[in-house]
Amino acid sequence: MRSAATLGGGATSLGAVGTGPARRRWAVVREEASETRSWLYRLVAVVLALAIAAAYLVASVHVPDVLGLVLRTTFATQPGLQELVVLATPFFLTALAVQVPLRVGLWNIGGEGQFFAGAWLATAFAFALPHAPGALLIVGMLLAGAAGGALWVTIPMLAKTFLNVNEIITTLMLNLVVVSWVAYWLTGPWRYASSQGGTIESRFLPVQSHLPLVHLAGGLDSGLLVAVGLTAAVGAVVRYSVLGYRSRVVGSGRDVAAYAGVSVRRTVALSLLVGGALAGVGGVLQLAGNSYQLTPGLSNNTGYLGIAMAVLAGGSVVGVIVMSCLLAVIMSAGQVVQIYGVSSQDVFILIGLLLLMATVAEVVAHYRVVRQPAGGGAAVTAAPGDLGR
Amino acid sequence: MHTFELYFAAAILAGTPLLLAATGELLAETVGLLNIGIEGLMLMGAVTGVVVTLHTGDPELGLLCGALAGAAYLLVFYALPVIGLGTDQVLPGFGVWFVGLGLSQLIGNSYQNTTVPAQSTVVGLPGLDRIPVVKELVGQYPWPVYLAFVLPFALAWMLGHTRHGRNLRAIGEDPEAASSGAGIGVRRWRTVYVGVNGLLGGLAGAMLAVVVVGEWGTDVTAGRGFIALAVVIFSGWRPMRCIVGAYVFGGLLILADLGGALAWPVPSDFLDMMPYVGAVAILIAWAAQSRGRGAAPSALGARLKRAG
Repeated sequence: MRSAATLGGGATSLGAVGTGPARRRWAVVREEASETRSWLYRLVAVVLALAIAAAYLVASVHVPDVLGLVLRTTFATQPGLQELVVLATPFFLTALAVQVPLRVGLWNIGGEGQFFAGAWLATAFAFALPHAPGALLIVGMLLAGAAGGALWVTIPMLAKTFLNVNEIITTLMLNLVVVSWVAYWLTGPWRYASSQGGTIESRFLPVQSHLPLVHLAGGLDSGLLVAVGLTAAVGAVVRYSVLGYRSRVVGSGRDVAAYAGVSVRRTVALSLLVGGALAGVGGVLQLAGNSYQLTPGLSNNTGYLGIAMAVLAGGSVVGVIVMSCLLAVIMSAGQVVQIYGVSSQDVFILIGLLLLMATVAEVVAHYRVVRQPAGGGAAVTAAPGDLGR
Repeated sequence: MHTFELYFAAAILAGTPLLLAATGELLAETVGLLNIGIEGLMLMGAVTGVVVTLHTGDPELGLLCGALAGAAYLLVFYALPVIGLGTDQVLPGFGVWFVGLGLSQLIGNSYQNTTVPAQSTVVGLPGLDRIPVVKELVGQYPWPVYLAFVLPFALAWMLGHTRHGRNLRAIGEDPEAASSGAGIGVRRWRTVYVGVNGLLGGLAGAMLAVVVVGEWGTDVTAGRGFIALAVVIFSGWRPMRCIVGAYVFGGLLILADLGGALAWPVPSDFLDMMPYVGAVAILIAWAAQSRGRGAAPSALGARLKRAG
């Protein structure tokens, strides 16, 4: 990377050739980016990544007006909109599952595994009490989901708090463990006897455990209400509670936390457990609100998508909602074009591009081209201050 | 006895991609760069290796192209943002992982489950390949196995005993001092070793798909890139200890095959978990034993501060 001075120097010649009185110069300075500015640049990043995806789509799928088709199917039809809501529901929770620990400076990459652990424990609960009344089953499954998700992150949490073991690797490894764990139950004890061919899936959940439909806009499942409620609750806790304050303090640095008398260990532990529990509830919502049986494809990579959403949302809970809805649109578009032979794995390219562009945007947001009076080296020398943070 | 020999040889073979990837990652981490996207890197190497091998019929060319593709991929998707623009290191790492996951599938889709016809050159170690038992254990492997085994020794010597190695460690410990104090080209060497990381990670992926598995399949790496990260941490950033870690995980990766062959009364799904459970266990055990005072380069993962 070039220093601010050389960047400024490079831009100066441009400025001199271009506009304005010859006495004025252009310079690039680095400064703290405001919240709005960071947001703006992240949005530009999202738009750029989407533009790349759209360009690829148009080039690879030989259907006239494919973009229009995708947009019409998604937004202008009732099933399209409903599908959008179904898709967005678990996104809120897996995004929060990453965002809550990220506030404290931890990467929870295990959302996928916690999602399945929650769904698994909820399935176990429902199969254990197949004749219980619906309300009891649903509440019990949601609690089981939270417990399962939290349980699945317990080992990485303990390893992090007591031994400072890198949580990225441990949480990710447990995602891979859960794949085999679920496969064991789906091919063994919970196997659905009448499943077609080699399909691996569990028996169906008792009917009364299905999340009831709430009749808004034709048929939203009540899972969305749970997801939005939990998102709002997390937003409130983060903003107004002591817990939220503590996580902000720890997030701004271990030394700061020690100085402020905040227990780093307890805050780290709690944020990971809450993250795991949220992802687990996400698994239950998908299970009891959409598929009604445990399958290996239950998450459809929702846990991994949560990483991208959390990063793009920054520290904001509103951002999580915005990004979840946006990603739901992308995913639903992906489902539309899958008919035309675009694989669902392709969405990972988009996630990757989003993450790369977001991180580049974050750097770019710190730079600003300013005009300064001729000979005023002041801004340039003042700029480098804390370059690279 | 025969089962043991087969298992041992298969473990070495399965451990070799881990060893190559871990060695490359160790070099990048030595100069302070934490690339958590090895998984995506290996996938790009794997798909390139298989596609080239299927089109040319030459597995050696496939391995070479896999390595080169890995280097090119990592330089564009990791070195460019991290070294070129000064972004943080975790997010581009995720980017490398996810783009690799999606892009490799996109490229490999039409080659799905097409078996690679020719095998890579198996090298018999002169002398050893005549002795029974010994021949099966150590004497007959495709050439990348020997390369992967020898490389850590060479690197340990380089890092410990040469001026260049000491410079690299200085970059990883304190890039500012290395740059301004000792006049070492921090960004140049970091770029070079990201390239080397890419070469070895790409070769690891190509070796896995072309030689070990023999075909391209979705997500053929199945978390091996992250296991390689665990191997690096377990090694304490000492190249030769990567050898032990990689072969142990190689053994865990094929445990389900052994269990099947010996008809163990354990569901294979539980054996499939073992490499990942093992990775978590080994990280915890290592941290408990070293009490967190690892030999990690001090500037690992830190953004490069720039002189004004």
